[in-house]
Amino acid sequence: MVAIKKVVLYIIPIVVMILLLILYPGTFSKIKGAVNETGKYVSFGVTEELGAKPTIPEAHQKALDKLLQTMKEMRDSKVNNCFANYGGLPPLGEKGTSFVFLYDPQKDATVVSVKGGKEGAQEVASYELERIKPCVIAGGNIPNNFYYSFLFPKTSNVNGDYHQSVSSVILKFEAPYFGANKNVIRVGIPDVDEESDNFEDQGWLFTPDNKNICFFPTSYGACEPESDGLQRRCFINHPLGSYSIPELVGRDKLQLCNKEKGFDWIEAVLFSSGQGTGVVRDICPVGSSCQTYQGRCNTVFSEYKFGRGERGNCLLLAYVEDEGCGYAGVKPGSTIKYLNSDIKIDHDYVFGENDKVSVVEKLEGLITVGTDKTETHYTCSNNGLWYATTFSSRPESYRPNWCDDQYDNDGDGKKDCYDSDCFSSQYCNENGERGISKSPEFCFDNVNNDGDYRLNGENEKEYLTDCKDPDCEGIVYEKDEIQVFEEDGKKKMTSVKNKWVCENGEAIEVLYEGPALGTEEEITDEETTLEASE
Amino acid sequence: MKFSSNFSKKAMATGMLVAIIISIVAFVLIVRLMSIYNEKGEEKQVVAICKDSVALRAATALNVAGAEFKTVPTLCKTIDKKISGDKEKIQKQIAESMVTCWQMFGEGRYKSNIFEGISIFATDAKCFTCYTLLIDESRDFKAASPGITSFEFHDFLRKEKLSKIKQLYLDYFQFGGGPGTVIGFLSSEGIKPGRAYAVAYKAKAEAKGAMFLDEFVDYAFSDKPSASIDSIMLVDISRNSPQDQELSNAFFKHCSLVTDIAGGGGN
Repeated sequence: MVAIKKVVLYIIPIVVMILLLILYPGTFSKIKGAVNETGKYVSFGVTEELGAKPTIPEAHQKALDKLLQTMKEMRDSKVNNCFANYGGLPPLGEKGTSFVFLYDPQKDATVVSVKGGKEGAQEVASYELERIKPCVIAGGNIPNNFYYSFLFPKTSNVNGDYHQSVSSVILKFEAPYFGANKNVIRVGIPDVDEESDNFEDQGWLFTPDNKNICFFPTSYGACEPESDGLQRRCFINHPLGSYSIPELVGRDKLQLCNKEKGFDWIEAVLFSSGQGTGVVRDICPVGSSCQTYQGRCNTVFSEYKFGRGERGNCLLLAYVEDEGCGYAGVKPGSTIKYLNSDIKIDHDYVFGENDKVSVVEKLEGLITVGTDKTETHYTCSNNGLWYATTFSSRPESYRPNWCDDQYDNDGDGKKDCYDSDCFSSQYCNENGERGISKSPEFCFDNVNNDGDYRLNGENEKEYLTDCKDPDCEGIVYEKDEIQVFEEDGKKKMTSVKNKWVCENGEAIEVLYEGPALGTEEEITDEETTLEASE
Repeated sequence: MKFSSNFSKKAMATGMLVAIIISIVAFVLIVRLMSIYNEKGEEKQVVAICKDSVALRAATALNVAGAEFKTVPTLCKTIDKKISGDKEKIQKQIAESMVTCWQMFGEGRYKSNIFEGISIFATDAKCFTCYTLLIDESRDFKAASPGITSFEFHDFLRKEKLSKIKQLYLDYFQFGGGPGTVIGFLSSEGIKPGRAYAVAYKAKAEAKGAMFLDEFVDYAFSDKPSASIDSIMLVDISRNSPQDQELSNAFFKHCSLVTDIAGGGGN
């Protein structure tokens, strides 16, 4: 009975299914379709994901490399209370890249942890900066003391420290609300950390002692100190920011940690067309991120590829108010004063944004040397960079031959061609070493040592080698020779003196002064032996 | 004859005594070995049960129009463990505990929070303490010695490889399975004997419960633990000083602890 029940229970469903398939063809596929359809909305099992090695964008890595390099250079500099510019950071992105600086007192080093990857929370890489401790110019009265120590010196307003060591600095991106999507700095100081958009440092760093490397949290405003940091215009060369860091660095009022790096370009701003007064407004240290005057010529200058020529001309940018932007290549040795009321420019030679013709020859007439001994001058060196010197810092009797006397004439610890004051001297080449084309031996060696050339009538380069180079005009070259010869079985020697001079592009042989030509002396055995041993 | 009879009786008694002593010693040794094995075995058993229950929970989760329903309970229990050794050994043991904990909860592979029964409801950050580790003093590492700093331990994770898989610890946690991070909350004492540490797994969740404990800690591996990624954590849970107490209270306050099957842990 039980067995029959079981058989019936199995058979009935089978028969029903067969009947359905016969009577309603396609039912099964419809059922299958319906089940598959529900599969889109219903599934089993938690979705899994695989991890991937975390990375950060290349632009962020490059910016970090520059930052770390700058910090190391500041540590290795011998200059205290100095500034450097690492070029700034690009927007790091929300849940993107962040840089965490943590000081390890045991190792006396700062560990830099680079975060990125998923949610920006994974460690991508880490670096160790030995003998470096992070600090900030922020918190309490620190910005005020810094401002009145360096930007607007007034000792009566200084009360206490002008920098503050911190155990951690975090650089990251925050987007708390529309319009505030910017990089921020977090340092464990409540005043600083509660601010959004507080890292507009334009790439500037400061070190008081080559160990503490200070970041600049910023606040909004012209250029005044606030407890959460200096206002942002202190970092821009803006007309309202008269005491801005870039301006004061450019005027040699604040020290760069690596002064030898020089300035990549300077910008002259002229306030009326035709003949008018002008100022050197923007001075950009090599490797820094800089703006042109009010940013008006940024696009124009970045588009131009300025050929400095083989001699290494320096870049002078020019902005004429209401006229436009232009640029010039200035020859090494040229000097321009910071406030140069003698700047004259024919506005026909300053072109608008779409013009790409250089005005090298025309603007050279602008370059004059002022007599104000307290004002900063910029000199174009042989390596295509400008160097600033405050005129008063030069010795009263500064003379060009002080660059060739093996002596530290101005007491700055550097001799001759190692001193940036000598970079434009005739005795120094673009590598900061002695010897350029103006030295006698370079005017008579049949080599175009400095790469000078001129364009001939067919617009072809005509290289100026030796006396053809106007730099060699009037250079005298003397050469003594000892000639040994045999006559009648005896060895004889004679001294011969040769002398040439460059005149009108030609090497002219001049009869020498000294012993008579062809004087002969007999060489004894003793002299021969001595010569052999030498 | 009498003499030899007495001698043989004594010899037999001595022999029996020696045999009894050897038996007792052997018994003690065997029991000790078995208990050690049993402890390890017990730990392995706990780990295996938890791991399998998590895997089963994940595998049987029902997805209906974007909502996930997990019905199988996790059978996980916090393991209390004592460790000792020199600094290198201690770091190794802690790291291996972190690896085991990470493996118990799927190595970060699960896209959703494994603790949430129904995914559509907002969640706090949820953590489970896999291990509480108590560091015993040893000859090479005393309580009075300087502790292992957070910098040192983080460096260890960066440079040392797992025992079985030849991958750096940090790489393994970050992308060996699914994506993950390592979070450390250590006091200025660092890692040293006489202190206790929790190895915890923190599941991904939306940002509500994100922690920011820099004001309490000497060093945190992560400046602000991100909520949307699984993490393996090492937390100093010692309560030797008021500052310690603040640290561990703050951690437990901000991270909702999931209770274990024995009813331990939890907020």
